[in-house]
Amino acid sequence: MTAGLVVDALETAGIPTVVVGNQRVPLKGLPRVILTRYERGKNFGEPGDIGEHEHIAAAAVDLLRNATEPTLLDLRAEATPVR
Amino acid sequence: MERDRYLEQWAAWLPAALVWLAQDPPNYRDSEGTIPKPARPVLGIQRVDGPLRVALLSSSAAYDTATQPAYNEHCVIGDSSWRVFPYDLPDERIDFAHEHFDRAPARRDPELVLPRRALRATGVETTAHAISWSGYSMDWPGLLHQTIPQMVAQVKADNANAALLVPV
Repeated sequence: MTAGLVVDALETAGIPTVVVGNQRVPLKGLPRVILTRYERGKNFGEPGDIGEHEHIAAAAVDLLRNATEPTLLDLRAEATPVR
Repeated sequence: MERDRYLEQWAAWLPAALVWLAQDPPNYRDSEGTIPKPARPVLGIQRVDGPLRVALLSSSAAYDTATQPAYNEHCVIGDSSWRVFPYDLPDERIDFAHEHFDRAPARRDPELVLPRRALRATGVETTAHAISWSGYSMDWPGLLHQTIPQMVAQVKADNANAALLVPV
């Protein structure tokens, strides 16, 4: 819940934000949000899954670069990648 | 000193919250569900012109075990302090003092909640520091008046023009 307070302060200071979380309700209404399908404490995936970590980070940076309106990107339905 | 209406609302909420939090197990649903919310600013979407320089902030209560104290996991209303440490701090120096999530995976791989390498792998510039706070804090006046302004000042001092937040 406290992430929203930090987002509001950063955005007010002129610093755009993107949030990568996995609990929908506390993140509603924030400018750029990515929801991942992993449980709490594993926002970027499983330990050692570098490809998935980088995939999610790239999505976050893409929102910072290109979002033109408040955006919630839901990655929870993504299939498990085959590696 | 001006009256702080939000502080008054929070102080009025606190006695009931302390009773809920003293239950076994603590009643987080009612205490967190009723905490007074400050008014939110009305903000449009902001764009960054030019290359990104991204600050990384995580509410995982990460800290540098060699130089910093752990967060207080035993206070009933949590810990509203924050930490800043070098972005490239070795993984083995990092621990998490936040008992509301299973820390074992993040201890094996801090990238799960502090994605320093993954963020840098996108090609953006990152700041010299990473920032953490504890996602479990009911001391919202402390967060709003002290902790968060200090974190924002650190982000600005690090010349970031954008921020990635990882709430836990």
